[in-house]
Parts: sequence; structure tokens; C-alpha cells
Amino acid sequence: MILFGVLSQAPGGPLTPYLQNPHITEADIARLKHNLGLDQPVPIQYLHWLGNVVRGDFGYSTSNSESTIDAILERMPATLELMGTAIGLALILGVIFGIVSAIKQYTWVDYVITTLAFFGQSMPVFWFALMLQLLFSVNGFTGFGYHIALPSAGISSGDTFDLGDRLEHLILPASVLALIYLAGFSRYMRSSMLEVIHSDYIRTASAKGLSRFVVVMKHGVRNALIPLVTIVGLTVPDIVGGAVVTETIFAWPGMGRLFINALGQFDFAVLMGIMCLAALFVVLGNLLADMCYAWLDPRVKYS
Amino acid sequence: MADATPPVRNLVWRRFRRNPVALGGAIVILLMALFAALGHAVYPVDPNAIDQTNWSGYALAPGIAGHPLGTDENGRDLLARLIAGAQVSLTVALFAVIMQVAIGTLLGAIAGFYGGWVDFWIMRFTDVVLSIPLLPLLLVLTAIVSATSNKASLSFFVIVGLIGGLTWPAAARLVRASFLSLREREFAEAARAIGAGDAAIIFRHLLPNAVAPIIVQATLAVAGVILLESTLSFLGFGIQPPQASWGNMLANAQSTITIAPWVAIFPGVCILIVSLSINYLGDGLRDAIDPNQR
Repeated sequence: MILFGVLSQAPGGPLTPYLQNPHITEADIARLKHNLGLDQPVPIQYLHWLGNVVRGDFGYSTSNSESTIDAILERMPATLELMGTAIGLALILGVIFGIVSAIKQYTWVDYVITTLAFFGQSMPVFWFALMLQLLFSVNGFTGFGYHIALPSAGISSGDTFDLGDRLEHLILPASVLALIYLAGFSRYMRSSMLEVIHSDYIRTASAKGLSRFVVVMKHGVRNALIPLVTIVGLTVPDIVGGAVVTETIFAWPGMGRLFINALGQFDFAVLMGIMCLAALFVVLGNLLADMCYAWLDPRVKYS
Repeated sequence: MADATPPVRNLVWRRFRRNPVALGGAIVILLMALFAALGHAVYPVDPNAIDQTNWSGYALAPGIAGHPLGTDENGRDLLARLIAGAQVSLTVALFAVIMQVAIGTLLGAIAGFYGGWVDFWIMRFTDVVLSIPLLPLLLVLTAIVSATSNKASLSFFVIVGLIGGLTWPAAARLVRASFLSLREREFAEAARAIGAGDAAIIFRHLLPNAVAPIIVQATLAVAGVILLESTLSFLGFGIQPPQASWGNMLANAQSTITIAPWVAIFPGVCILIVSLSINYLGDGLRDAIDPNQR
């Protein structure tokens, strides 16, 4: 599968719009092309590249000759911090919202949560981010006797590590992403929870005289989580590229911005590196989901 | 068949009518389509014209100098640009979804109808397309295309083609699933018995019975495509300026958001309203067509 994902990427190679710089002559470009192996046919380039990748060499960035792996590794922690917080938050809230919304179906709580989910699904990420910036960081938010002014860009204010400062920078981008994921998660949780609640074994558990809480928590949630796991597994690859927009708007120094910058400069080594990583995460996400199935449902056995 | 269809359709319509939110969504979308289609006739202002008399380097606030919604940072009338943007965003979404549904339905129908190794290879291909993260891939492809040809007029078709060509797997899976069960039904067998060819069975007998879920899927997909297109345009890889789209109208708004928040607010509100209405409409349609699927 990785191979396929990569293959479909490969035929973009020879595009290196090398600077319309008047000091670079035709001969220079030819030499550059030769050095980078760009004068060879695409399939050969691809095989060459693949050969290097297998040996753990993803090549060098054509824009600042940093090694691709270094460039990615350097940005990875920031993205992981952002995405981890956002997905974690969305998952916890999504599960809770979904359960509550299913148990209290057709009450005002349910309507509030489903409406919220619809908004989250329909919201253009970048616009929501802009509005939050406008509200909370441009002028600062004043209301309810508080004045809040959150930083709107970057990951920290200075070079020294300060937890409070890092958290302040994290709040806006993480909540933007969290709302988007929360919408999907809570809707899935709600519908699968509804299905579970109306099934026979839940009725049996209630008939045994167990309290509502125990029935829902012990018998219901575990089974309702199974479909959600699939969705979360599909979300894992987003860790690589999904934050492209959010990272761009909040000037977050992560992989998403690296991707956009590399795209602007047609830095193919870096682009390919990130796409490969994304493909790797697809596999990883599926694996993770499969492991969660086995943990949630003991009947699932992999031999 | 002929007299069995109308009552079902009436039933669906009756159930749909009782859902005020979905009905509201449908009305909002109609209004938005009217806004896009007739906007210029009612409000004949050039969306790319710069207000030379009043503009002095800053966006004009709503209501000033005959601009009901103000101007953007380049002095272009915001309402006129919203209308132009609506035309672009809605047509991109419409055509991309038509393309997506056409490809998805064709592949899904073939896979579901023939089964066996045809099914296997089509569905593996579908999985591959589905497994590549959509947004990064779209960004790479649009960047490549826009670098190879710098004709801005081309971007519309490129966007439609790329979005349509990459988002069909959901439709393919859906159609395949319903074809798998439909082909075993008696009427399919009857059609085969009277000597109908494969194409006739697929398109005349099976497809009409699989249309309901396709419509729901297509409706919801419109919202997704509108968001996708606006995201691409926002990042600068979608519809190219000066052609207005709701997404690229927001691209420059970030830098002037402190002094001219309205430039950022209006296009975003449009995107939000449209995609919200479409989601509600699609959800209502699903409930009306298949009430058990809640």
C-alpha cells in the first residue's frame, strides 16, 4: 500500500522551476539537473529514489540542502504536540458528548450537541481560526469580568521553555482542530450508542436489575466504541498533513507548514518524505485500530 | 413498476416535509443559488473593479460610498465579489460532485454487478485512492498543474477535475454495496431471463433502485467539496485571483483582520451557511428515504 501511495506521487519529479535568476545560465541548469539526476527518465529517477529510501536516505531538500529526515524530525514534535492535544481532547469530549446525546435522545441536551456537531462539520477550518483570532487575540476578549488575550501565532514567545506560555500558544490552534474532530467523533459515537442501547443484551442487563449507569458504562460504551475506533484509526494519518491549514494560519512551526513551504518551492525531496510518512501513518492507523478491536471485543482474534 | 414508484416518492416527500430543519436547509440553498444566478442582474457592479474615487489603500467599511458590504483591501466591492464567488464556489461544487458520482457509480456498479476478480481489483484500487490523505495530495497536484500551465482560466476545470477524480471512492463503495444485493433480486433475474444485456440490466433495472442512497451521498458531498475548494483557494492553490471565490477572498483577509474584519467575516459566513444547510438537507433526505437508518 505504501508503494502504491508513493507510485501515484512519483510522476511529478522533473519539475524544479529553477529560479528565473539571470545569473544562472543554461549550462548551470543542465549541470544542476545532471547532479540531481533530473536528466534521467522519470521511472529511473523513481527507482533511484526508491533505492535510497530503502537504505533510509530520503535525500536533501533542494531549497536549503537540509536533509529531508532532519527537516521532518525537527518539525515533528510541534505537530505531535498540536495534533495530540486536539485529537485527545476531541476524543474524550466526543465520547462523552456522544453517550450523553444518545441516552438523552430528543431532549434539549441532544439537540444542543447535534447542532454543535453540525456546525463543526460545516465550518471552514481556516475561517473558524480567523474568527477565533479576531475574538481572542487581536483585541483580546473582554466579558464576564475577564480580559483574555491569547497569542495568535507561533509555538512560544521566547527560546526558554515556559509551560504556561506554551499552553497559551496551544489553546487557539488546538481548539480549532478539536472542534472539527469533535463533530465527527460525537456523531459517530451517538449513532453507534443509539444502536447499542436498543439491542437485546442491554435490555437483559437492565432486566437483571443493574443500575442505568452501570448498564450504560459497562455494557454499552465498550460495544459502542468499536465503530468509533475505525474512524479514529482513519484520523491518524491526519497527524501528518491534516493540520496544514491550521498550522499555516497560526504560524505553527510543524510539518503542515513545512509541507506548504516545500510546495511553494517545489522541494520534492521534502514533499515525498512527508507523503511517505503519511502513507506510513495510514498503515499505522489501521494497525492501531485493529489492535483496539481485539482489546474492546475479546471475540476478535487474529491468528 | 410504473405505478409502484409514485406512492414511494410521495411518502418520502411527506416525511421530508415534516422536517422543518431540512426544509429550511433546502430553502436557504435555493436562495443562495438565486443569489449566485441573479445577483449580478440585481446588483450590477463589476467584482474586479476598483473604486478609484473612494478607495485610498484601506478596505472601506460596510455602508460607505455606496458599498453595502464595504470593499476589500484592494477597494473592490465586497457584495459583487460575494456574488461572483458564489457562482464559482457553487458551480465547482456542482460539477465536482457530478463527476464524483458518475465515476463512483460506474465503478461501483461494475464491481458490484460482476463480482469476482473485477470486483476485487476495482475495490483494491478504491482502497488505494481512499488511503492517500486527500488534502496534501490535492495540494501537490494543483501546485504541479498550476506550475505547468499558468493560465488562470484553467484553474476552474483543474479544480473540478482533481476534486471529482479523487473523491469518488465513497460513492463507489455505496453503489457496490447496494448492487451486491440488488443483482440477486427477482427482477434482475427476470430482466436477464427476457434476454437483456448487462448494460441494460445495470442501467435500466438495477441503477434506479440504488438511486436513493446515491442522492443522499451526493448531497452531503456538495458540502464537503465546497469546504475543500475554499480551503484550496484559501491556501492559494485553488481558484486563482482575480477571479473571486469564497476561499480566496479570505486569503488576504488575515493580514488586515485588525482593521477590516468584515472582509473576513462575510465570505466565511457564506461558506458556513451553505455547507450547514446542505448538511441539514442531506441528513433530512436520509431520514426521509430510509427512516430506519438513524
